[in-house]
Amino acid sequence: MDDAERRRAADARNSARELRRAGLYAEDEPLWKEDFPLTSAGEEYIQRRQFTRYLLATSAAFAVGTAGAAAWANLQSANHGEAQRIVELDKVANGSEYLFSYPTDKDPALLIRLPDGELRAFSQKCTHLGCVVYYQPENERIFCPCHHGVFEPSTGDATAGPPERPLQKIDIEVRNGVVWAKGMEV
Amino acid sequence: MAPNTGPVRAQNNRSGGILVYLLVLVSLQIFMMVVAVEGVMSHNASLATAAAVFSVLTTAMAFGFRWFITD
Repeated sequence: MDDAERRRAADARNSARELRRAGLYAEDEPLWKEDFPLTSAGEEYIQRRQFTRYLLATSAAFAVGTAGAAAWANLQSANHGEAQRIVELDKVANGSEYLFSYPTDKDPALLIRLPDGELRAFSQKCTHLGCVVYYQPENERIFCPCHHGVFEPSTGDATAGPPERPLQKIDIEVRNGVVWAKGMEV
Repeated sequence: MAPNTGPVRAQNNRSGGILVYLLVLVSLQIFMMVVAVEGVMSHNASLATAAAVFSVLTTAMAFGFRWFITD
């Protein structure tokens, strides 16, 4: 073997090792491929079993994401909130609403004083797709403008439109003329 | 008589069935991800949990499918 042939063989070995490092050779590739990186017709063939690796990786990634979303949703529902001062009662007239945040600053909520003076508080997120709902005293309803969902202001139950679940209720009480939120009802 | 040279690769070059399975599986997984996010947005933990369970079951089915395939 002359110098030129030795050099060519060394180059071939190096390129084969680079291919192996880049993951282009399968793990069960025979060792002689390192020294003789020759290909033949049909070698690009991918087994169905190999193909399903990608299938599994994709599926597992989605499953992890979905499980993460579920865990997040469960943690949210476990957050009942702590007692929080909302507003003085005399600042909310009969048949009007007062907007506040509960249990965190990122959770919009709605305090409603019904025409008969009763107080109700709900999360302001529509149970259909999370749009913000508001109180319409003239129609005696809570309304979602996104998809025209309607809720009963005294109970929070969905009465029309796409929402099927009631608004999430907030426990409230009046202490010395001040309305307090006591926690989310689960 | 010709010697047995194993399975003829040319017969297996097209895996249309697996491609369809892949599309159905990914579509299902995307759908369940959307359902789970909807559960988070609407504070409905049971909806998100159900979506996660189906998603994990679908992945388990994919594992089973891989075990079933021999080549």
